[in-house]
Amino acid sequence: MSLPKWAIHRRAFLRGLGGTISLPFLEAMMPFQKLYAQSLNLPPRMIYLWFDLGVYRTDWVPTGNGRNWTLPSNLSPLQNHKNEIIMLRRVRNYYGDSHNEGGGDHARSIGTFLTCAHARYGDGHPGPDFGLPNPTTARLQHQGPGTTEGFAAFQQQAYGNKIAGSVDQLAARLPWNNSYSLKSVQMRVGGGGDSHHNSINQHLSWTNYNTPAPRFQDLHSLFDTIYQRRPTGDVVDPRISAVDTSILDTVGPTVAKINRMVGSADKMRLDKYLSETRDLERKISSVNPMPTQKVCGLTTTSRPQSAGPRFDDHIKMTLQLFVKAFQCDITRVATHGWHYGNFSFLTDSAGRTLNLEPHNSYSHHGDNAESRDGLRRISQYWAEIFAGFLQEMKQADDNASGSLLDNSQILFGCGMQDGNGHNSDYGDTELPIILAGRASGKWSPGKLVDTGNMIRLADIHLNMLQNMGSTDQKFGDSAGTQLNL
Amino acid sequence: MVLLFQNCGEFESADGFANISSTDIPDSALIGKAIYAERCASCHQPIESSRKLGRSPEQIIWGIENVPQMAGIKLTTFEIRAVSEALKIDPAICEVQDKPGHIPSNRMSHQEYNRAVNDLFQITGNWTSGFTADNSASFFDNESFSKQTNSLLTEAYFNNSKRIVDSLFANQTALNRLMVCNPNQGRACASIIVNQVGRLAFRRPLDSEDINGLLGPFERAQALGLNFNDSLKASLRAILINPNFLFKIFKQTNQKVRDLDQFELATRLSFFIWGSIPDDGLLKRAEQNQLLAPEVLDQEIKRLLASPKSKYLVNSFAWQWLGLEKIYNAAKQPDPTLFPTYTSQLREDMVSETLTFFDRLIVENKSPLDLLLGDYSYLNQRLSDHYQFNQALGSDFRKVDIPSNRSGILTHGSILRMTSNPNETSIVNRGAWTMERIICEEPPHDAPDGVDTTIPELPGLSLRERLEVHRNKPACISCHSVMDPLGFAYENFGPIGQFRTQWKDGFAVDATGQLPDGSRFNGVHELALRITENGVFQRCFSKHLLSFATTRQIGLNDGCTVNRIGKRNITSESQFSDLINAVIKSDPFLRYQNEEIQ
Repeated sequence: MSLPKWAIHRRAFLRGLGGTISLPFLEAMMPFQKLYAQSLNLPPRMIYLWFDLGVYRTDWVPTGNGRNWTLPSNLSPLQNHKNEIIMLRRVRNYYGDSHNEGGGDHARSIGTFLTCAHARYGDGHPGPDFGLPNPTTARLQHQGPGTTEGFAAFQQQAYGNKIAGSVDQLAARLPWNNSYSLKSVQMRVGGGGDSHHNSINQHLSWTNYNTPAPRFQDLHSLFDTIYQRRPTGDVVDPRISAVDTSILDTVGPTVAKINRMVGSADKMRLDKYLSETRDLERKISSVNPMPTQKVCGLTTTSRPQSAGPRFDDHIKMTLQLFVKAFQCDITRVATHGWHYGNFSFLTDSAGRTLNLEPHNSYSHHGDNAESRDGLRRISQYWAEIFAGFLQEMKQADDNASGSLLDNSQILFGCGMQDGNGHNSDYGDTELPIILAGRASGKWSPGKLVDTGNMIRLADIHLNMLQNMGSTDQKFGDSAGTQLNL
Repeated sequence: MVLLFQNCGEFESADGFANISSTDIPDSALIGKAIYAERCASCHQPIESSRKLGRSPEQIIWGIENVPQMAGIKLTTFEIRAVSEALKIDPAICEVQDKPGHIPSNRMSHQEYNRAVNDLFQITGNWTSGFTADNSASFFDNESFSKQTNSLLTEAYFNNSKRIVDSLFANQTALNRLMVCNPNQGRACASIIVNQVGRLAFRRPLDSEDINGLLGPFERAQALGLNFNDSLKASLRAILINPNFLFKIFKQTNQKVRDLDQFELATRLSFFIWGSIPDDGLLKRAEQNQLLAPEVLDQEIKRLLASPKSKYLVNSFAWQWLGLEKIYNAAKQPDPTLFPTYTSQLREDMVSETLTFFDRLIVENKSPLDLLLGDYSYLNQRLSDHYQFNQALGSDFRKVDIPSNRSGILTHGSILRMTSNPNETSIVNRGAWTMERIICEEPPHDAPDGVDTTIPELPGLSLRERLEVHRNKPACISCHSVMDPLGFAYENFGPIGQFRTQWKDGFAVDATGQLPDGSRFNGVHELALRITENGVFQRCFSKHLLSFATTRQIGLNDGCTVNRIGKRNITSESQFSDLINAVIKSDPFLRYQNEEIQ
């Protein structure tokens, strides 16, 4: 299980996540569990891994087509996983373009990535205002130079309604997820630099058109949330859950009383809190773990001690926690954003320095050889980390129904292709997107998909959403193109 | 409206706007209004009904460059900024509007929650385990609109309530404080304790409905055979997850605008100055219906400021206003081989210098102008040596005079360091930081599509000259013409805050520049003089403080209030408490506006 390329710098864990304990009698129940899982018709895991600032395009474009293809030089770390991935040519996200709004590509490349809706940047919190102005939060001075009334009409014409949420959040709302208390998990590493357009550049995942999905930024909180949900096999004292329930029961009458004296928007906030406590109450009264859950290797000793300041350690530890969460079947939807823009001094696993200057000054390379190399080195390192994640997913057994990787659909990529000029408005753009996993048999990886035409990112999202059991026929600007994945 | 407060020798009514004089409106806005009337109104309606309210200079420039009907309009940068000013602070608004601004009922920030729990039980601990990240639409984590709950946070509130009461019952001193009655009395004793804790937690007296509700879990636990302590714990947990504790709640009546009631005001006051719930004394004032009496309010403000808990203003307001966390920005640190003297210890000293400066400013009640113009600082030996001041100080921080090329906090090592790139200064970062934090201008967004943002290699030209070649490109000039001169003002100080007269390229440092209004400066001290002479800093600092105090973004309707607070309360004669008082006694702080009004 220990992989040299996965080496986490310093002694970040008190004890490795590898020290798993499983109870034999529960292992013996597995055939039954598997049967049960099949009868529940559980979907694959849906994982989105996003990184910022684009790539050095020349070295990131694969050649060939179909099964006869070659990885680009920048992706050499993925050589051993070539049969587990699908690369795609000519992927575009139409709403990631500026549409004459001027600068702000960086911000847009985040907020539009999982929504495929035009994100008008900087309208203030909490929403990027996907589609329509939000008068209560509008910060007019933040609107881009080209944001005019005419543009709002254009958006409506082009897109129609407000979005219902980002693709991961739509998946998290599907019926199969009712029995999971952690519907999805979002984690962000890095970022928070000097930026002032504060909403769309901070959030990949959106609950609706103006509410970002809750996300973690801190490994401890992420760990605690996953750990809380581990199946323990313990018998819960019914008196404890009865008292817990009575504590939660006090919220209802209080909210009813407050709601008689506050405004309607405030009522919604309080009702939201009330319904969250009701969900919690339901969870407490159903003491049985998910049928597919088995006692798994999550112990308090695997709580991250401190990852230190290293950006890559935070990513790796997050991914390891994801693997654990999938193994214990705590959640099936996970999104992870790597916001590297302002960082410098990264060394790869071999100890080579990747960048001395902030990543951003490399990505805007202006064809300067030194900066170009810097960008190339960083992209390659991301591929290395991604390969490490695939390796762990491949080695993790998924209740004897194949590996976690077999039963996952992973999208790894970025909302900008070219770090230099971004050229999101140019027709020849193609986003760096790699898919991985077998999506429980729905994908057949090991190929390059090049149809000769543009592939809409929204069609990829829609495919993944349908693989999760959705009957939706439309997402963002999807054209309904059948993708042979 | 009753006349309430004495301020600068004149009376102001609490509904404020009636007494605002035209001197509260910035000159540039008046000029801009005139320009607008002459050049813009024929197409865009009179300014009062203009659909372009709030447009930034950037947007106006974009219009002139791209909208065919606007081609041929010739305005200088200063004139464009003045028009923008007029569109942001419509002078008419000051005279007619009564819009203190809506603040929604909102949950506490994570920082406030932690402080509130600790103050409630007089314990110390970190109770935010499992919390999802706090969002904010302003510089400050208490910004109310974004303070909503989510399922993961609600669950963490619930789980942590158990940790909190368990830890409370394991702490004998805290437990003794809590147990004010004999447990043998059962429910009667539990009722006394719940009433006592609940009053502080809810920031108001409890009624019988509250108490009966909160005792539900106690009774359930007793019925299930749990002992007194375990049963009491259940009711204390009910307090900790009650919306009256977690949320700051504002009643909405059929009045469009009203004064805060005593308890809402007590809560707002203590969260502003302490970042936490009111103490018994403040609550008593509210219960006695005295808090709105001017002398009582003055007394309470003074008392809150004198408490050690007011360090919150330093550690939270000053910290977030300046964005000091940037100095720790993970790996954006200088290369230790190039800067061996920049150790983590020195970094802590730099942070201490700035925090101490702000702390002394409040404690000694100095003029807020010292923030930019102070000719002193607080240093220990290590930091003084680093600045090459050649004086003996010892290891404690002491007040020292600084050379005339330095100026207030602007030349603190912390600020100079955190706005730099790892190994060299960043003119753009320093310029953008100054715009956002010191003069309250929006820095530009990142470069538009396809714009080459690299600074050209041009042998024989200094950094400044090369940057000028770069920014003279049409695509760049509108943004960089404001940002760069501000950044250059700091160029006499290197990336770890040491004074220098030469650039790495061998050219002499050129720290001269010009503000959009045409005034010139050479170096950061002169920049500080210019932006305090024209009142820009006063307005900006008031805006940030008002935003922190009211927990909301400061918008178009607040222009007059912000300007008035700054103009009257940030002078060389004024004291920091004048500013705090003025913020507290402003309509946005004291009054509630219904959510329906925009």
